[in-house]
Amino acid sequence: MYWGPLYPSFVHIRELTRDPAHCLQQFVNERAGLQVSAAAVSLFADTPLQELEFLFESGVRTNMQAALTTFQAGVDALLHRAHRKSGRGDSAKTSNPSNNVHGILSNVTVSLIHDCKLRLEHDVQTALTLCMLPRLREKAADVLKVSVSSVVVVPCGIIVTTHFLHIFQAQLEDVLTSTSIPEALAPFLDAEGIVYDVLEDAAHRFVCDTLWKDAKVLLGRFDKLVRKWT
Amino acid sequence: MPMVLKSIAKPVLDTLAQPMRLIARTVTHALYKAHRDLAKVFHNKTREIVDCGMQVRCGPLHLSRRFGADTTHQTNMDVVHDASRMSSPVSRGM
Repeated sequence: MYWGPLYPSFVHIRELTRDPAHCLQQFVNERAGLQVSAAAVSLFADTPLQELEFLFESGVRTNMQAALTTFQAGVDALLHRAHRKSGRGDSAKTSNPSNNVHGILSNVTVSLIHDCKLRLEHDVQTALTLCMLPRLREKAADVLKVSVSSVVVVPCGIIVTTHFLHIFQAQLEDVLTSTSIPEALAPFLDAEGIVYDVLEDAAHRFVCDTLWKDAKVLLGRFDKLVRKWT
Repeated sequence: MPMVLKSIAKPVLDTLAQPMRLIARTVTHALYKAHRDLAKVFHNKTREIVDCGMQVRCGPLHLSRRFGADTTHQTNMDVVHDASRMSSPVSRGM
């Protein structure tokens, strides 16, 4: 299958999303002192990988489109300026167009690399959050030992913690029944969604504060590319 | 985050921390390679197209003249290209 000029990029993405276990093993093989744990493999396997593949590939396509549009706009502006200057007759001041176009290309490449860094950060954080969510949800439902939707005390806008739940179990028993959500409001409230949002938020913060700090070291390599092409 | 579920979330997140570190580094590495290749393709292919366009299609002279440089070394291709550019769509029967 021919994927066009983006083929090399897509190969890396599809290696990761189509065969995550092999990709983890390959990554570990290239580095000493690391080992692939069964937990890591199963965690990765439980992630919605097709969703990730779509997210990553969309990012690559969007970045390429943005870069091409910016480059085109830069060349258009250059030609427009040159046209105006030639109309005014001050042609001697203009420089070699080839240099100008290459200058635009260098600037756009730097912008593209900047975009790539931002996109990579966003995509990695999203992927890791998605990776942890299934376990987090399972655990939450397990610990609460009740249907997740019945835990939310909607009229007061409070979500009950397990700690709170244990202490005030008796007092809250009535509230935690399905009657805690007034029937008239029930169709408009997604109690389960609220709990999941909170868990997602917790996972995202964990990713940003802990995991991303280790992983973002790799972004320094982009700066070498910038120096190479400018 | 509401005070909530923190007591549930934290121990789970702590348990997942170790395998997630490996996953984080693997995903970042794979995406780095994908974006590096994207930047390479953009830079190299565009440069190739620009160079090719300068030399063949537009002709170095045609563009140079347009930008006000010396026009003493005009090639046949430039002449042909200029002629086609100067004729209006009406005169070309379009």
